[in-house]
Amino acid sequence: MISVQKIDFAYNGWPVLREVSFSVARGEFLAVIGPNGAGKSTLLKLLDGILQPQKGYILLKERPLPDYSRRQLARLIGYVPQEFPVAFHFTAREVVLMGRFPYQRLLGGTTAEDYRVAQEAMQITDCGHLSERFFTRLSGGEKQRVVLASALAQQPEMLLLDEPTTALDLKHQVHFYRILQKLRRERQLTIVVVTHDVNLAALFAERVVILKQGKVVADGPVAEVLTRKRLESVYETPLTLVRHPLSGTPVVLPGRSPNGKEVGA
Amino acid sequence: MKRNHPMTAVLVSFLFLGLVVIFTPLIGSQSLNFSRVLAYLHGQTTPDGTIFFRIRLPRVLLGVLTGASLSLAGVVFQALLRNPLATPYTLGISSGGAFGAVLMIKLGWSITWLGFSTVQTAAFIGSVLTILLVYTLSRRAGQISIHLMILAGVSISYFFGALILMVHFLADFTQTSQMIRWMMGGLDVVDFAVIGRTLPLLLLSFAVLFALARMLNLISLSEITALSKGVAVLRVQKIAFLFASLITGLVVAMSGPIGFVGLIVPHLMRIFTGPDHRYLIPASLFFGGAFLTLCDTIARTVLAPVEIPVGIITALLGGPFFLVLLFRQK
Repeated sequence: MISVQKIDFAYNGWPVLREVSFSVARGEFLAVIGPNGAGKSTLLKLLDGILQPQKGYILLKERPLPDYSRRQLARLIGYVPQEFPVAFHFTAREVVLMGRFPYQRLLGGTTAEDYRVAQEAMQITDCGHLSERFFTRLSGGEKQRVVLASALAQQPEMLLLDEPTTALDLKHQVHFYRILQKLRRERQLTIVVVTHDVNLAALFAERVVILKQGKVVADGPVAEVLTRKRLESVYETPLTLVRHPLSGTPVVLPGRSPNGKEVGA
Repeated sequence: MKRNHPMTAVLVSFLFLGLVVIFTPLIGSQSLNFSRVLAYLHGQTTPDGTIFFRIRLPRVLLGVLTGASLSLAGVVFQALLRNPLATPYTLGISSGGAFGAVLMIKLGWSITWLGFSTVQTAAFIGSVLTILLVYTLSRRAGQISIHLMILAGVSISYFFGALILMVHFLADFTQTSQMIRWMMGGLDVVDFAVIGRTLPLLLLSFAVLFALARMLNLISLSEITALSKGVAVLRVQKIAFLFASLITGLVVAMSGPIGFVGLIVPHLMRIFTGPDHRYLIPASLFFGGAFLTLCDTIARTVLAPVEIPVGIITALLGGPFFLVLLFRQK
């Protein structure tokens, strides 16, 4: 689906990403993890063509990213940013309908198809009942689902999500990831999620890329990449790794328990 | 809270504009008889017809165009700067224009070309140069920095403010009162030819900005959101910025820096249409035109035969009216 080839990126000469390469297959669920400042959010913006790498290139469906117009990209990629500022009183439905922009003509109205797709997107993300409410008055979990619905209204083949569950409580975190999982299963959506939540990533993603100081330090299936040693060196803190009793996926806990060393001591 | 269909607000504001355009020219220090005005259309030269078509109608038209332009520019700048407090003058367009006008009054040159006076020309050039300066200062690495733009605009406003005071200080008494009168803004100094020459440019700008409505919706959220949903942000920003500045510069040159309309009309209309620019733009155009014309009618009748500068009326009437609506809305 998308392939990143040795990209370098710097903000005003300040290096953020160095020689980053990886690719994501169609229908894959990839989690990108790593410490603060590792360049994860920057990487997502590069994948959506919002930023351009200074070196290297990105291929989307075998075509270089700069060959696509913004409109074409918006039909292929849905981007859920970390923050979704709304300065004016748009309703949730209006926000979702804005996802139809890449399909609308300059002076054309909103078509029945636009309403249908928006409605469907809101059902999938379980926010149909919010459609008349003002976006600014919604709770964090509701906002996040509306923003996801707006991205789905673009009918993309790939979703890029930047820390989508950071502001959500446990219930909404799980709920949100279940929706992503369903989208992947039922629509073969390719999903790339940037997150600090290693445990949720382990539970729902199939592959993990670890970024540290702008470099890929590990890339592979969840069970192989998420080892105690690696995570300790990446996050520079003592950790304990256990198995989730139900799923068998790795669960990371802060502190180290072997040798009788107490957590927090 | 639920809104009515935004189209209702657009239609109501259009009807309101229609009524204002038909009836306000009948009001004035000399009251007119409607049937005698109509007789003028059938070739009869009546004094009522002459006053209506030659004196009052041009002025009403100028009021409509000025009010509509300032309201639309307010809408566009609020979206582009993502700031509900932005006005057509936030970026210093009017202070640049005012400096041009004030300087020309001081110099006292008076050449008329294509119906435009030197003061008008200087005001327009001042506006255009200011906006080009603000734009150049806020370009960074192929993007427009909104933050820099607001800062640059506000500092340049202060700078020109100081220059204007300087010119005032150096001017003699007659010039000073001329300058103060210009700064107050008014719709009384323009003849039909000027309106006719600027009309195509204004209408073109209205059309272009309306065509950008959906993109302005997205840009009013954030640049990243707009990009990710398929808007060529930089190009849209450039076009919107150019045309909103152009109409502001033109009306400032024609009628002076009439305040307040560009701030309150967009807000007022947003209460009724919501923030969707496809409705907000036409509603603001219609209502803004009607509002300013109404204010001007009051300005030229309430102390007749003395005419109060319309800028004073817009703020005196608009301020309290707007506050009442704001607090009733909750």
